[in-house]
Amino acid sequence: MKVSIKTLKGSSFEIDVEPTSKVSDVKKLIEVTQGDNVYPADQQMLIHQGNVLKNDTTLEENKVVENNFIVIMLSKKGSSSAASSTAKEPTKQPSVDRAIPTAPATQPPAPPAPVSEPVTAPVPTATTASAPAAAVTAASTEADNYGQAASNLVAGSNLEGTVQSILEMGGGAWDRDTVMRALRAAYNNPERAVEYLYTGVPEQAEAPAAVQALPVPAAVQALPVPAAVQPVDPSQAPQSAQLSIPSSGPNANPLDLFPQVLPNASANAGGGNLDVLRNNSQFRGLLSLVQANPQILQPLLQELGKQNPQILQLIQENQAEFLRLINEPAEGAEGNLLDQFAAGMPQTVAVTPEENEAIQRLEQMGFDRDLVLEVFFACNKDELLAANYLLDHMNEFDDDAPEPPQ
Amino acid sequence: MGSEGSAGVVVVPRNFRLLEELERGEKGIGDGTVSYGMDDADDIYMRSWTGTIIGPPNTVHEGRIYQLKLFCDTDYPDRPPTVRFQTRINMSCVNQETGMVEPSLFPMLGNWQREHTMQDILIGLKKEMSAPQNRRLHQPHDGNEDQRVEQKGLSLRCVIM
Repeated sequence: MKVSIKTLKGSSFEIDVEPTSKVSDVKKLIEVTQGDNVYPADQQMLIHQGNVLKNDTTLEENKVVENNFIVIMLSKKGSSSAASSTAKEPTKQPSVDRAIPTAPATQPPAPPAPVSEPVTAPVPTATTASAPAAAVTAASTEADNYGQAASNLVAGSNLEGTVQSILEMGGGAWDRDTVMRALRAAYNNPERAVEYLYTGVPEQAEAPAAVQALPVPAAVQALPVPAAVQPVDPSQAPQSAQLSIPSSGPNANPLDLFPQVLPNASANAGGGNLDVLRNNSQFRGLLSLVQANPQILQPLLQELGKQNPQILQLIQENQAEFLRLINEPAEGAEGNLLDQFAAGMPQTVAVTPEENEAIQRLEQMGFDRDLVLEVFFACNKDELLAANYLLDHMNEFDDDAPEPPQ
Repeated sequence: MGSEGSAGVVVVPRNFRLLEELERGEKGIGDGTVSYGMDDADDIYMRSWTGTIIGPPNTVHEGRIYQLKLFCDTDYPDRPPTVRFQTRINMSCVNQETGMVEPSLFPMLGNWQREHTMQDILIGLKKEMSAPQNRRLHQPHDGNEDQRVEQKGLSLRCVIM
């Protein structure tokens, strides 16, 4: 018998089927005649007189007779099953379980809504993932000296915060242009910039700048920068050694340091050669740096060899005496460590070599020794506090009651 | 049976009307998006019918096939049939629990006219799916229909009593 198949688009076609054929066979026949890409059998849904035909039923059971029409439509969900509603008694209707078919051409407006929600859900996850990444970055910064140096180079929005921090630290001693110039000269490194603000922005390398490289750890502690960028004092020492290489200013300092030592070394040939190094204040500063962190001794010696091979040769000839020289202020270093541990933060310790070293640093900032001594002890031997006090007094800013910026 | 006439107007008897609708349903006049037929061919009173509406495009109903039951009692077509959705649907004029189409909310049933047919009801419901208040309602997933079938059975039993 011939049956008309009507589509939703208004067209219709005829197929030749038997009353005993199964609905699934009819679907396959439609697929063969119309093409498997137009009406795939597993997506077809046939409707006859208000009944959705089940695959395992026959046309006879669904009361399909000659010249009847069947509506065909496609569902995107494959092998969707539909139950027929034919029954002898209305009270014995079977259950109709059916998957929701979707038109292949266009999508209903409702399904895009669930698509939007999964897009929203990963966003908090990505935000949460960023925080551990930042923590990992902070952790790696602690471990890696190079990463530590890189993290101190501020730029962009961090630059403004750094400028504000340095302005607050100066307590009005420096104007914004001076701070910006110092940051530019220090390649946006805040520690280096603070050093330049104390000693003046270098247009050429100066001998006192070499000694001023040492208070970099103290200057870092004063900066209210993020905690990840503010490690403890012992870990700052290798950072100072790391930073001194790429920077042009401090890199020239060793070259300027050792011409003073060279004539003395050549004049005192023979025994007691290391006494020259012992009495040299610049070299004592370097030794103090080595005592704070013995790991930098090897890079320091390599750098020393590049700048002044004679000094390195002198040290190599008298290694035992050099080791004794390094270990001489061991008591002071131990006291320094104990005091740091007790205070919980690095600060100048009441040890004579340390005090003398700090006083000399303050002197080389351009102040009179008597004034430096007076302010140093008045500020309870706090070098940074004394430096701020001296700078405030120098600019005659708030002479009556000078307040530290902290 | 049941043939009455007002002054000067020819009234088509119920059975002839239902036979005419059955013939039209079998011929498939229309675009094919609504179709209907008798539930039980052996029922001499032709009371129970089944209908199908294919959801109109550009709505949440697109691609869905809604199966309905229409019950034409002995007073049809003077009074409207009871229409009940067997497939779960969320529409403003359909009772969520029973699937019954509320005559008070569906004007074609509420203001019933004798000239309306079951096909008109199905087409009207399909137009209602495209109405602004129904085209974007969230639709439930197709679920088990046992409860509704029992509901229908109970309703039929009450009608019999």
